[in-house]
Amino acid sequence: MATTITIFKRFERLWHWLQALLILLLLATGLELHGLFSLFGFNTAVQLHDWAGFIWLALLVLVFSWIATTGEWRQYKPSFDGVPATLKYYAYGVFKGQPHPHHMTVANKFNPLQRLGYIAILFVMLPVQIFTGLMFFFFPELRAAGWLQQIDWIAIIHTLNAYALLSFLVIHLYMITFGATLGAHLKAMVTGKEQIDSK
Amino acid sequence: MKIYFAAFVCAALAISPVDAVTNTSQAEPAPVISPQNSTADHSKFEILDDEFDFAPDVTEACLECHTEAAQQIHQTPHWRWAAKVDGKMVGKSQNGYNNYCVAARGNSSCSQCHTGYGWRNDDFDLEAEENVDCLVCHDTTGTYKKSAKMSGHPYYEDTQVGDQLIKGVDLRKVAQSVGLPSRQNCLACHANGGGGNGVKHGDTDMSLVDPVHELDVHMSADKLNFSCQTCHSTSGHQISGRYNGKKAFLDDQLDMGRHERLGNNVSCESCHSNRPHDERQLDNHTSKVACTSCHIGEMARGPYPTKLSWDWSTAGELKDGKPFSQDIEIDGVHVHQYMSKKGTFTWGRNVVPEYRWYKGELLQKSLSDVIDPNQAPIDINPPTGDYDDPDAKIWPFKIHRGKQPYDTENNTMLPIYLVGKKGSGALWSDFDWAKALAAGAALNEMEFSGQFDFIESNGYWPIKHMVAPAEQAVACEQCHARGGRLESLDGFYLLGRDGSTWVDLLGAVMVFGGLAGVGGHSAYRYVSYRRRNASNRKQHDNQYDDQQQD
Repeated sequence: MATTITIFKRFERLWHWLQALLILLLLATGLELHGLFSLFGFNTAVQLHDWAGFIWLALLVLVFSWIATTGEWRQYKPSFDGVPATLKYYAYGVFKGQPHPHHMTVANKFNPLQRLGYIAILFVMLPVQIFTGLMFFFFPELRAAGWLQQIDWIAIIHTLNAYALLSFLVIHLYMITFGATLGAHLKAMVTGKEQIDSK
Repeated sequence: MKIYFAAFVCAALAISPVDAVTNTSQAEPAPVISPQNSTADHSKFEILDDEFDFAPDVTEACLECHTEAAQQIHQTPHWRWAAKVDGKMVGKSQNGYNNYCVAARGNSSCSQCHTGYGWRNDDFDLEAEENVDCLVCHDTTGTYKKSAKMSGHPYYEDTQVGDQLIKGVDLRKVAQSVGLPSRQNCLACHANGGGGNGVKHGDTDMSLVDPVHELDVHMSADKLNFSCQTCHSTSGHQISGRYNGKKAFLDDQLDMGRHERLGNNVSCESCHSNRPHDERQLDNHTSKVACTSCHIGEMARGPYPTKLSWDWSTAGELKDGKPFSQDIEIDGVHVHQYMSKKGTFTWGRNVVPEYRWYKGELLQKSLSDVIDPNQAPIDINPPTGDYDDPDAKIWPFKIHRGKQPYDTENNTMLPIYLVGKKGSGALWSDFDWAKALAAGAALNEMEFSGQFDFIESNGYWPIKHMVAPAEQAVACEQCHARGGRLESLDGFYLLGRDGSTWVDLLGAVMVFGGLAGVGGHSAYRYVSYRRRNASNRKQHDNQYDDQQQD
């Protein structure tokens, strides 16, 4: 029997798509500022990057408040349970047509790999990116105050983390095709609704 | 008499401003700055209504009323051509050198541009008041010209200099018309130093007499119409500006010590403040980047090119035993490319400057300094400072590349004796390097081993004039890029230029590795899906066949 549940709440969907937009813009402008290509022009890229960064910061403040107050934090409790089975599925089972070992529920929406991945992204990578971005933005003030004389390490961490996020984006876009149908997860992130096997 | 005149013409030809750059179009003289509300009309002064036939007599007349003027002049770099730096006098009158004609001392024609009369040799009396030349700065008629041959005296009689006939000066008329110095007065020397228009500075040439707005927003008559003294404010003949021992700017705050600044220093920030953009990111640049770095994107943007290099080592080539010169045309202006007397030159218009850290002072080396030939090119007057120095900013420079003689035994730069009669050893008469260097060394009280060669050198010229309109400011990408304008400056992380090669490699591995992984996985997923479907169909067909058989 298949039933339909609302897996992604309205705020969550808004967060996701706004963040998607911001990250794409931040990646495009950031990589341009790093000198990899020319798209908006340096001055415009700086302005867009700064604005997008601060909007993202505001969004993340809302996100963390939401996670903390709605009990969603339970989805992010670190655990290695089921990780080997999930890895085995992606490395072997999927080619044999086996079903995904994880059963999605409202209270447990991430599979074991997703859970670890999103803990790393949400609680490590994004804060590091925002923090180094803020250091970068306020470097003139920090230097004037005598707290920071050189920006090189901050810049290098910011760049490395951006590459890691871009790499995540590539894999993320592939992993969303592992739903009941190729487009099922994508559809879920738009409508919030996902069909699951009820047992 | 004939020989004397010929030698005179030759010498004048060699030194005079017209030798290097032949103006194809004479700039219109800008309006003379002469306050209409002056309380004194010099044409009414009896003491000036005289048949002067000797310029120092005019000076004595001036000093009858302006009793302190000569004393004031005596204190200035315009007069001393040297100043005390760390307890030692440094300047072209003593021991300073450059990579143009190398040394002024010993070359009596260089004092054509001295604010005095007759500085021919070390016997010149620097304390004599009547030796001060008031008129070179205060002439408003445009008829007062100083002679190289006569070491700064005006042309008293009609004189042919090159293809120009310079009329003998009417000292009564000049004396009766004195006024505040105009651009022509300043530029007569400051635009033509080193042997011609645009030779020395990359940002100061005769086009500043009447510049268009695109060339100089401050001096263009369209808008602000600044005189030189609007920025180079004066007090008691002390003129603000950089010199040995005197920094180009003391602060970067708006109006900080403005009154004290009169005659002392000058900075963009004293009028514009150090946060003039109304845009945080741009304003943040001002603590490390000079205004000029972005707002003077190219040097020599007027009609005249500026000299970029001077190679003395090729000098001395003669045609039929006679010196010659070869011109090139740069955008309609003829300049020398080769001269038997001077060697080989290169020139440029709209030249992108080079950038260095600068604290408003240049470390002027002297002829007594020992050089290390392995360190060539030798920095003659390098700017100082680095990223960590709060007083230093990134400044644009014209770096004039020279190749000039040095003593290979003593490792010192060698001055050249240039102008003299045939047989005197002067380079421009005898074309004998060994003799010219020996004479130059003797006149500068230096040792000369007799062994010499030529060595590359850098002369630094901070760029600060010819400020372009704001919309022509240097674009971000010009510096914030790999291989950009600031490529050679290190010691700090520059966005768009810098990065860690390892991080970029790691990033490439992560991103392209991810793409490859996704590609491989999805391909195999598709293949295995097709295979499964096919075997399912086969199974299904087999089942169907079985059923049929039943």
